[in-house]
Amino acid sequence: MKLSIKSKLTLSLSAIAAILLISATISVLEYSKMSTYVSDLIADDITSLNTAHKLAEISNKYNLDILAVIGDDAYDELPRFDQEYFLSHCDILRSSLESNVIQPLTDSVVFSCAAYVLTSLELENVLDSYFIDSRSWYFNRLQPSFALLKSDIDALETAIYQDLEKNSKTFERGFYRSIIPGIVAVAVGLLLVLMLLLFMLAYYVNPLYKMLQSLDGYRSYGKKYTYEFDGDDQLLKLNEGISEVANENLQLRKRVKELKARVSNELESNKS
Amino acid sequence: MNWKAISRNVGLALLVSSLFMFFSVLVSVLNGNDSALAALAISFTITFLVGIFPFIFVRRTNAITLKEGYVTITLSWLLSFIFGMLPYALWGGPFSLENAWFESVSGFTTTGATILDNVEALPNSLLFWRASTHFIGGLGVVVFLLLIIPDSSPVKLRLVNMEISSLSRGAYGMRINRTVYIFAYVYLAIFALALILYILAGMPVFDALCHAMSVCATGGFSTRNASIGAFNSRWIEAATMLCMYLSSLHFGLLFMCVVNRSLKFMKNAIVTYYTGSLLLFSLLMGIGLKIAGFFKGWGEALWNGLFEVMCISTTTGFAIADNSAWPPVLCGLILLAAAVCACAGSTSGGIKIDRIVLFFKALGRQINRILHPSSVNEIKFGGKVLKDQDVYPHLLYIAMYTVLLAISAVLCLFIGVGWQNSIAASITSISNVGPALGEMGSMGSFNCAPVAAKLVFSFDMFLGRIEIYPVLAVVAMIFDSRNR
Repeated sequence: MKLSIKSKLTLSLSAIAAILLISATISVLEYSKMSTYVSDLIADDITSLNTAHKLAEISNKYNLDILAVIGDDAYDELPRFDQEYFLSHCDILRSSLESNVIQPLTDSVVFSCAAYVLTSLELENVLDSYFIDSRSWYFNRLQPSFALLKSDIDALETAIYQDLEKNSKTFERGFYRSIIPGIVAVAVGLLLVLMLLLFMLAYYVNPLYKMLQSLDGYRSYGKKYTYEFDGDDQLLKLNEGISEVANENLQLRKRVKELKARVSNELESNKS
Repeated sequence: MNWKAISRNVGLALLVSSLFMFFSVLVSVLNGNDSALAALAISFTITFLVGIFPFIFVRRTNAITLKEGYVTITLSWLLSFIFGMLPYALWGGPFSLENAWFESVSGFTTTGATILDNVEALPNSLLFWRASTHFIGGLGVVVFLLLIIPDSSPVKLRLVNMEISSLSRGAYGMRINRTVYIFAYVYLAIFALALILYILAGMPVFDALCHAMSVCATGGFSTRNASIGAFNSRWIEAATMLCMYLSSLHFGLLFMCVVNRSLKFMKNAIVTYYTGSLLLFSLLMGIGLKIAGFFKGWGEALWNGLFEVMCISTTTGFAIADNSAWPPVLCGLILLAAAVCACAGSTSGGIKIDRIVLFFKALGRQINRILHPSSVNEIKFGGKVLKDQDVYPHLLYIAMYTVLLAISAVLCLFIGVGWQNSIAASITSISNVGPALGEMGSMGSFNCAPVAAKLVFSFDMFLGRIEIYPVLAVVAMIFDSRNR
């Protein structure tokens, strides 16, 4: 099948356009996919960190309230621990993070909290009792379970920080991964542009230069137009046309020259 | 250099790859648009566009020079590797750029070494593409190209002469242009036979298709983590061994056997040596496995020994047992089998038994010359008397194989790979066997190797597949001052 110059250029530029379109589409898709995925991950981590802070805050406040009651040795109302609020936050943590490390740590916090709250419920009896020293009860009984709860919450926070760090690294890796398809498509686009340049130079530009060179030789020095090249499109036909016209013209010039010589010879013979 | 003709022929090779990518897209669609659909569709589009591009401008060319032929072959392979890695790189998962490159090179060179720790996590379409790279590479990227080029074209004759090993070309008096078709017919016949046998033995159709593509190319990529061992069927193992054996024989010989309906061609000296060495290695391996206590019964030990030796000798690289804990003597046996490998004119890699026989004949002649200087000493091979200039390239090939092997192993040692893995993986890579020993063994992967080592192994696989000379020719052309 022979293709015209127009078809060849249209097809080759369409191929490059298709590659560019693919690269643009890939870039947009990868970017949106990555940004949504990473935003969700980081948002989850930040929410979880806030929740863990809240857990620490709730338990600290309750513990301080208990300490205040023990310090005053008198109370109007016993401190109240909002266990439902605490546990609901733990549930939020469990559902928002899928990490295998965080789930058991959240469970540990729940268990330590239950143990701490159970121990803290003894407070009323301790305060009412004449035999139990409330301070020693606090330091011997409540403080260890509070320390355990605190260390579990700290461990949970550390794990969430680590998860955040890991997700940031995943993001970094994912970022490089997400730009690979775009880079590949752009590289292929460049390859096609280079190939187009090579073919344009080999099939159109160089023959045109050589045609001009041959034409110059014909015009300036009356040389025969001899340039030929391999091809199957209009440029080849153009070259054949030029060659035909130039060579016909050369023959005509030769014929005119011969006629002129004959006429001048005849005139000279007539004169003599 | 006629770059226009080179680009057209290389484009043709890429179109072959794009055709198989299209089949993989269809597999993805049949599997309910699995996760590799986008990666495969994009790879297909890109490869197709690049492959078809030269056809817009370059007309059919009638002649190429020797140098252009070598450049065409080398570029066809290299670009097939590059475009073949696109589905992996675009899909992601465990495929970083270097891993995708390694998997692609391993596939096209029919090596079968993998970086995947969990093959079963891959979607079916990507598994199909992995097997397809074996199928394309088994017959040879350039042979696929030659099937499309018309018989009358001088390009075809030139490329056949270069792509097909000189050892396998002249045998059985076939016309050079016909050799390509004979290779293709036998290759497709073994593929069909493997597919039918696997299905009859009870393997699921998709697995049967992928394994058939792999076994006829003596590749080794499996769809299961435990390779053939995952199916736990003696029938499947027997079918695999039969197909591996057929794929490792000279295709011309198989063709003659079928056409003449006679097995007399099997009485060939090379086949006898090859089959004999296979049986001997298997027997030693079986005895070794039994003595080392890996298997309780003699039958089981001999069967496993036979399977392992056939996988290694035919350069297929399937597995039914984990060889990572086998004693050093058996590992040595595996490496020896990996270096010698199968017959020329097959899809196998390595030095090839033909060259080994030639080497020993040349050695015998040399000793005879020393002992009897005035006697007539000639080398007879395949019923013909060989001249020195015919023997010399093959002896040089063995020398180059050894030198490259040593360079590769030393490089790997410098990179930080252990000495055992450096040697074993270099041998199995350059011989296109696939699995090595230890953590890179039959049930392991090459994922543990450093990035630089993966690149060294990929280069080994490439050199082994195209039998070193074309790459050296192209390198020499680059540095040859007369070409500048």
